[in-house]
Amino acid sequence: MNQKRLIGLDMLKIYATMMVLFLHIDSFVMSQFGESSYPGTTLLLYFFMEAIAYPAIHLFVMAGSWFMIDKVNPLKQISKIWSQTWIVTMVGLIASIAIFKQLPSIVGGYRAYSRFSVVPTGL
Amino acid sequence: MTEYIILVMLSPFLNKGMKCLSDKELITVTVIFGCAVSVFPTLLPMFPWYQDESEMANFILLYLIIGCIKRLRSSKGNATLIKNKIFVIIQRKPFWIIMWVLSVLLLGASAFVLHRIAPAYEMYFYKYNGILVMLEAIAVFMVFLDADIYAEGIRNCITWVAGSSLVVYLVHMHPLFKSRYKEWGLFEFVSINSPAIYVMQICLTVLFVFAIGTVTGKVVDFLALPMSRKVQFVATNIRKE
Repeated sequence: MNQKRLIGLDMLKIYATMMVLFLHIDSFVMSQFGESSYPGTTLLLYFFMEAIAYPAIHLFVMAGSWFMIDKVNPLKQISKIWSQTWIVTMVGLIASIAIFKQLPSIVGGYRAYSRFSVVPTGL
Repeated sequence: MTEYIILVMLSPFLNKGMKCLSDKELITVTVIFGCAVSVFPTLLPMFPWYQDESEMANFILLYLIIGCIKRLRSSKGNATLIKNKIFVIIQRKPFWIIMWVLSVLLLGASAFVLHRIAPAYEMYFYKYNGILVMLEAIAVFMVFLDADIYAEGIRNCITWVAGSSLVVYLVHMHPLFKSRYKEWGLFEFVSINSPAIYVMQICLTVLFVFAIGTVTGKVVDFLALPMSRKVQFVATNIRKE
């Protein structure tokens, strides 16, 4: 019974992660096109997709809380979260300095010479 | 993230507090806290805390709700509770599926209706501490809590993928990528004029980002594990001293 419950919470974490992505991607698209350019049906779908995805963070917290209750020492969990966050932040920073400092210029230069480019960027 | 880490640090103290309370007392505290954090701010917009929308208070409320759920589940054999009709109904999964569907319909409909009559308030019920959002979260949790998967292979796969869920979140929201989504024109392909294609494109993008994030997550876990163990070792030794 315990194993099945764990699987349920694992599925919940996957579902919650996808809902977080849903929320953010939906809002990126909305900010790109603007709400006024959405037709009525698409806007309705947008609201319902937001409604489905909105409790994503709550689900993460609830799934984590299930295991935290009855635990005395949260050190292992804190160290794991901190380590993952630190690694992602540092790798991103190094990549940002080393790789993307040059890449936008290459992409911009290609776009500038491309006949489909409107605004040359990055050069 | 910060609030979640604070919740993790507070958890031993919250656990101690909850242990001192009886089942009825814990439920009473949770209901009172829920009214203060969620119900009153939603129904009474002039409530002073509404504008703050404190995530920390919300997280603590969710922690208390989980505490209540765990307590009630361990009290299944309690004769007094079994006689209580409400307790019997909330044990059933169909009840929570209905609650899930109802809260989604109410949320979506409220936004659409408010968009027509009062556009400035269309997202009024879309608050992290809103009643409908909290109800939906509890309903989804209860539906997934007892989910069964019998195939060993699928079970292992789900556990493997779920392990990277935090890194997927961190990677896709990293300033390195977040600031460049618009620069790369990543979402220009989305067709908002065709509802079905719009939904399909959003879903496919979600799956794509999730897949990339999961692969990255496994690499990060590989790098983070030794660091995590070292942090635990150092922290444990500091405590012993």
